[in-house]
Amino acid sequence: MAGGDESALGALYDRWADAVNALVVRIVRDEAEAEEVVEAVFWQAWQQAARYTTDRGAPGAWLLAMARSRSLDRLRALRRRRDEQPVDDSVFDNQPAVGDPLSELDANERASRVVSALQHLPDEQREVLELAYFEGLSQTEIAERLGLPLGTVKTRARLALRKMRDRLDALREVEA
Amino acid sequence: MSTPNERDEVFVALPDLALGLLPAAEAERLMSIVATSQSLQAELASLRGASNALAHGVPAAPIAADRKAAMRERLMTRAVSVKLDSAESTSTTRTPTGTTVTTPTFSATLKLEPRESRSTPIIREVQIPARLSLVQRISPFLAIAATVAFGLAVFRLQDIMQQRNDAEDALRVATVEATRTSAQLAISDSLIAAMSGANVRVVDMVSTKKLAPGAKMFWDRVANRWTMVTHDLPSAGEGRTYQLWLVTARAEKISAGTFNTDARGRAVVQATYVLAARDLAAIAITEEPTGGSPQPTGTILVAGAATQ
Repeated sequence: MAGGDESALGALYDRWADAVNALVVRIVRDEAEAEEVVEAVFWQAWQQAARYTTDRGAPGAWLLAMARSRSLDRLRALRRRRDEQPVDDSVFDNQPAVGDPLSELDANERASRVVSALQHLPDEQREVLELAYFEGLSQTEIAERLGLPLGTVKTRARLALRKMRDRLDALREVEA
Repeated sequence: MSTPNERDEVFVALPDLALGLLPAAEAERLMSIVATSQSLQAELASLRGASNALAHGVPAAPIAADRKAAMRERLMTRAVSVKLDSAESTSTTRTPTGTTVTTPTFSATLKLEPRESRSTPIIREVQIPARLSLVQRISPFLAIAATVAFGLAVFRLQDIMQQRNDAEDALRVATVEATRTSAQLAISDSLIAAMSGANVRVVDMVSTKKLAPGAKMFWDRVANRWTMVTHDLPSAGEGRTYQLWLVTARAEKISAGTFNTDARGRAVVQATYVLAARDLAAIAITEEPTGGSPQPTGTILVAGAATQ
């Protein structure tokens, strides 16, 4: 793709469009807005392919990082447009009990591991983690949103991510 | 160099860095300390990996096949177009355009005058006034003839350039059309394969009401590919979406993605999911809030039992 081969863009799109869309929909929560963001993500990937290096992670991770960044930008713009009305989180209170279909088996395994790792977190830690990752809120904003002291938010976020990392490592070792 | 105390402080705050929770200045300060320690760098990398993994844990939301194809087509068309534009601008710098060709024409014409005036002293030197007067007489005609010749050449060159531009435009249109056709063919082939293979099992889904909506699910049990086609299903309302569920024999509801229908009530949804043949009990469609739900919350609109 870095050499300007548009068929590589097509292959990247075929492989990752649904996964990118799932992340964007999860963050933006508006399918029409999400579609614009997804298209912009792939166009950005096409334009920046020459600058991609493996130290940015696997292509999928690179693409999803761009998708998250653009989605959070769009979410913030939507919030401003909606006069800072907070997004209704009730739909996402619980993670699905079983893995969700993604575009291939490896993705299924990844999704299943992540969901499993998230389910092992106490609810209050998972909540902070999801607000940080999927809504891009700062520690102060999370504290305000949840009505908690800033120190509590910091502790929960740090514990949550370390536990999640350890759980993912453990699952990887079990698979190996 | 950082002190052990600073490194301890940074170690504790590494999840904040990995999650991007810190203001830029604070993040920069911590990163300067991370840069001094390999163990901090390794810890940060593993935490960032865990943070990035969250992207894989979201509910599936496959794009409706027609919208996915349309988006692909837009991207490919745009990429091909930009590539062609880029190639054109590169060749323009190498090849003179009508404008750059015209300039030397006029400069050549203007150069005739000093050459003509310069001939006067030379003629005086050799002192052949009779031949001089002949040259002087025919010089204006030569100049006019040269100008006309240049004009004709430029006109012809411009004509050739125009033909070349027209050919390039036609090639661009043909390339875009070929890309579009190729993408459509690939989608059609994929759909045909997903719906007609020897291992494809078909589940008829019927409306729970007396109205017409219905759907067919084509399940390729070898490729684990699910293709659902709906008909006469009105678009979900504002802030709502349809969600497809695979219901297992143990009554687990597995989301197979969200979708919406077009103006004619049609949608094609594709997903890949591994499920043993005996594990599928039913397939159902519910209406859910935009983004989908972890478990069904709305009424079942269309459903089919996997009795085969």
